[in-house]
Amino acid sequence: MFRTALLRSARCLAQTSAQAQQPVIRRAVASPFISTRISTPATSISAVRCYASGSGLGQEEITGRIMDLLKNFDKVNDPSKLSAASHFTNDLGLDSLDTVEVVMAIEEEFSIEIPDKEADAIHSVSQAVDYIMAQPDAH
Amino acid sequence: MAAASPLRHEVKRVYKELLYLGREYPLGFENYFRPRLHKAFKAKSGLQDEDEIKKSIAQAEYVKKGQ
Repeated sequence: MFRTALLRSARCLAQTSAQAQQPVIRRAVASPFISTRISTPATSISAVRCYASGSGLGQEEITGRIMDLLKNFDKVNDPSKLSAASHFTNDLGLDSLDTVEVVMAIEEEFSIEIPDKEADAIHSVSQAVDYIMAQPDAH
Repeated sequence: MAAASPLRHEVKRVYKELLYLGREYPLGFENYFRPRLHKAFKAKSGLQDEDEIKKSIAQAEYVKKGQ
């Protein structure tokens, strides 16, 4: 919790300082066509972030969040079959296109980006949980 | 399931991109765009011929540009 707050405040700070710097940069750069967004907030965030600390996401929490997400997915035809071991196609009646949508929803839920190759390998709740567990960036 | 995987990836990629674009569709995403996109892809799910699939992907790319 504290880490999230710290990150958020750092991001705010980076943005405000970037905005404060902008006029100066704009004056210095003669051509108006050159982008003034030179300072990237991402670099200032990484300075604060502690990479040594774990992501802080437990297996139960990830499973719970993915189950909630699937519960709200309208194409899941039988919510009673939903469990931590459910297979998207075999148990929940989703086709491969729906699976793409579920993976997209998972990406948004944990604010990560899953590369196409890895996304293709996710076919069940447990596989998704394992993947998120292996991601230090997942929130 | 055992379809040629490079094309399979292509189809999923274009589907994902269209989904992202569709969020700003004026007639609505959840109740209009998403079901229709799904139906359009599903209608071609039986294609076996590689050239046919490639043609369909090109069509999807065309739709993407039009948006």
